[in-house]
Amino acid sequence: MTLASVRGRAVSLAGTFAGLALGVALIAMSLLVYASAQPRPPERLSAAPVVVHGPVLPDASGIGDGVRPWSADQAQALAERLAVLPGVAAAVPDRSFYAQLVVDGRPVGDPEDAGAGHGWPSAALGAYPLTKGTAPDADGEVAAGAATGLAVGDRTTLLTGGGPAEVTVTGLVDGPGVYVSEQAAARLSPGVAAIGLLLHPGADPVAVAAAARAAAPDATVSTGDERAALEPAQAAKTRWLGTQLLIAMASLAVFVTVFVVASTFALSTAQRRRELGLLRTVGATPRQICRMVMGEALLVGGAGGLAGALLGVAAAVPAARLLADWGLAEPGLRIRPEPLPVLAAVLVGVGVALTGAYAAARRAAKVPPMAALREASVEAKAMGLGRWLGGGGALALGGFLAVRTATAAAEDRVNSALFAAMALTAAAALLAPVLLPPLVRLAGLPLRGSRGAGAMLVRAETLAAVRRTAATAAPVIATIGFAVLLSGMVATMREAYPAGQAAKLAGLTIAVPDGMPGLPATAVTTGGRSVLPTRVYAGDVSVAAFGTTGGPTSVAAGTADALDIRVGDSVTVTFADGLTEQLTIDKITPDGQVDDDLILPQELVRQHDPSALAPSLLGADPTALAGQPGVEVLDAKAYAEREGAEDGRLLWLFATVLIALSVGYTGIAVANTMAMSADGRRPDLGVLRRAGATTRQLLRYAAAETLLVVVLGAGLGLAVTVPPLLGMAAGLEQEVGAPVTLRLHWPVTTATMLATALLAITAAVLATRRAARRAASG
Amino acid sequence: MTITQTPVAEAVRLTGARRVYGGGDQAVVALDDLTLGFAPGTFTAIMGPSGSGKSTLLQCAAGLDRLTAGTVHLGGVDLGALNEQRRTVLRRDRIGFVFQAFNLVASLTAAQNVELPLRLAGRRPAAAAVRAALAEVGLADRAGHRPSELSGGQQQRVAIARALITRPEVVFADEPTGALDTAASREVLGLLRAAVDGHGQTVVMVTHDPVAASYADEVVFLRDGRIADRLGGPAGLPGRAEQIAALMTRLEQR
Repeated sequence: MTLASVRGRAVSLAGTFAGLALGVALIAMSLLVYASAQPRPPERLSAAPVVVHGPVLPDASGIGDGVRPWSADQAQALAERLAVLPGVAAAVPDRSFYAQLVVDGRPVGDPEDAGAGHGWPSAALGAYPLTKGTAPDADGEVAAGAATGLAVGDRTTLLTGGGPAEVTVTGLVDGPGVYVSEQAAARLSPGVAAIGLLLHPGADPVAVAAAARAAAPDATVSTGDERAALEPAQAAKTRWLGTQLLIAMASLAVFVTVFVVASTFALSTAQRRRELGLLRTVGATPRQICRMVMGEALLVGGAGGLAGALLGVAAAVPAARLLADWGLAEPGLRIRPEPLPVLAAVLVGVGVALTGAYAAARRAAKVPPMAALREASVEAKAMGLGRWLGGGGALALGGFLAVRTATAAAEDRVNSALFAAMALTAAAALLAPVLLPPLVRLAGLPLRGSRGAGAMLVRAETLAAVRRTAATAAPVIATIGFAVLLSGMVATMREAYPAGQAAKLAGLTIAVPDGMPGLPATAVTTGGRSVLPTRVYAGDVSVAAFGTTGGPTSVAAGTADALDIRVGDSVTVTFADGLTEQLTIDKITPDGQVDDDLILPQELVRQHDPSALAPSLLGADPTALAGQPGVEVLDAKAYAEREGAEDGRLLWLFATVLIALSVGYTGIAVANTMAMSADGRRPDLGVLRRAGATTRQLLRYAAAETLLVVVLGAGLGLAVTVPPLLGMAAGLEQEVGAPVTLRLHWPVTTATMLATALLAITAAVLATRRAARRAASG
Repeated sequence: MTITQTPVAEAVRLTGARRVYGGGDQAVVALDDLTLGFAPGTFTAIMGPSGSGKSTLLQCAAGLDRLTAGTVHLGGVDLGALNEQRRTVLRRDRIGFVFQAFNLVASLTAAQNVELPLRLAGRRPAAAAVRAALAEVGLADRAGHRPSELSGGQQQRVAIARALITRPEVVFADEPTGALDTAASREVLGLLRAAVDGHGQTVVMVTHDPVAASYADEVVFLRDGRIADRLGGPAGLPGRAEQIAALMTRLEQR
């Protein structure tokens, strides 16, 4: 029976199906990309089946774990013990540090990579062969990647944390990275995070790993995919960024799909009152009706889910390529065909369909048998108790989230605003039957005196079927709301950050790296203020630390909690070189203000992390910096804009993807609800035609009514985005310390409104024309 | 079920039935202390001016609507004592319906519409029984057609086949010919008459058409929620429709 009823209403279910398929496709794609982007063993260690490394410690703030390094002496001793294990050919202490070669006056290689430099022995871990020349064996010698275009014997500049130095290229390597002599490497990175084991042919990695565990009980021994723990920090950051986008996409897909399914099912139930009543009179129990509607949802959900899964798998490969192009995924990301993410997406799709249809099914079950006997399908009460409760709850939740947005930490603010907007959108959709009538009356006021039937009909139709009007307005609210929110968010942030930065730095000249990941010591020591970031390990956590001059040693509240320390306590930290220091904490700062998990004296950082790079130098002396490769000096405004540009690029990327998704998506719902509502009014259209309305008039009325709904929906959509945006502006104002006003991105907002209106009117007119023809013939 | 069955003399019985819509000053009394029974194997027509309570009577008798006061017994079962679930099951098993229009589920074929009550009851309909039911209304060749492919009269005949498939205690028909032309009306009324004569069915039909009412064994005239008049005697007698029309006119003028 369910099957027949699904078949019979293919048109009205097509929208639900399309929405679900798209939603599941997005979720499947996101999950697949996410699963495929999980940490992989670095390519660099491919020839070392067993890697012995320090403990992997989680970051106190959650982004990027760290491997605690050993000191040079500890590593040497450990390597000697490991080298004599049966099956082990060599135990190679692996060092990674900042090193970049200058070709034609410009630093070459990935400007974000602060770990391209290695000691020559590390080349063996990746089995990178020397193609020409000899291995670097002394200071001033370097082996360069063949891809750099350098030749054996070339003199060039090597940039390291210490600064530029003249070197000779003694060899060329078939592989990535810059290789220096083992002694030079030990100076640039005294600490060793990992010791790679090269095995004799035929040796069993599992047996070697077991022996290594026995020989180094305090170390972690990784084989196969476990070696992913040693991926470069940059990869973790890239993945984190990509994951943010994937999470945003998937949650948007879930939300919008529930929304689409709920509104289309609600509408179809409202339109089928008579049929449902007939079923009730011939003996269908309320439970059977409820089951029937849920069964439809299950069928459509299953079909949509399967179609979506196929679509999602197909879309995952180009999506991964796109993410890599945008810098949100590692360039080599390959999609692994895993069944679990796809299955999960299908299940989510079915679950979403059932959730969305549940309210409609409950409502359908309440249709009395009498509904079959009533003449016209005049709607029952517009607002049930559940709707009041749901709408009120969503409103309260949205208000709360909007207020919380103002006080949320910087990294939570965007999501908080997004959730606030989702809750308020749901509230507006649920409360639409209450909100719309006064607005319709208001909109109708100027037309009160008009002579034609149009204004009267449009007004009466919209008011008589408040629920139907609400159902058609709901996707419009969501579409406009999302577009306005996302574009407004980015516009506000783009305005706020540079303004705050420029205000703070007014009058200063700032040196920034150009083509390098940071400024080396030679640049920083020319004068001016800088912050030197490094990573330290305390207790069982890895902490992002920043070396400053003249400040108190302070720790962020969250990190203090993780380490269980208070002001005045002394804490032992391990630095990048594997050595430890006692730090006395002078101050605990609130979380989320700046990147300040741990602030300590800069000399300590310099002393323990020779490869530390400063991201910028405030109050730089341009003359002293002249001639240093890869350094650029900017004024405050240019610097603020440069800084903002990268964030802005990412923000726009996120916003564009999400706007395109949500608008395209809710567009389906708009077209679908408009078409369904026109289709459901065939009898009315027949009456109007018999009363002497021409087809042209009917189409005009339909267009006018749709326009009214779109205008009202757009108004509500704008209204729901204002509280989250205000909260966001307030939060930003606090953070950047400069006044921030709410900004709407009018081009995107206007374009979305026009597109929505066009789409809705087209759908309504086409459906009305079809319905009018059938009404005339039937 | 713990429903006490009393010996049945009547298929349906309303006792002291009262139905008031709304409250306060705007209260409308649709049924006013009405007592009426329908004997098994009879065809009764209910007539009356608009607002006389004939539709309310039908809905209350069928358990679609609840009485404000009084009782309805269907085959000896007191409908007022049942909850919605049990009333639905009772309707499914013991009552057949034929409405003026919108009788059929648009997405189902004629045969599927006929077997719907059986399927809802969780029974597998025998294909032969469904075919026979359709054959009885002269639509054996239309089993696979959907309602949109049938004429109005054919749709009503499918509705009658569906109403009869469960061999119900009583069939309620609400203006079954209201939307049909004369020829189709005659077919539909003939089928209802045949159900009474051939199978001993009980049929209660609300109508405003004297010709339709003339097919019934008895005509009950309502006015202001009470019985205003009754007309018995053999159905289909020449001149009976005129007699009914005259009674109606008198009723409306009074």
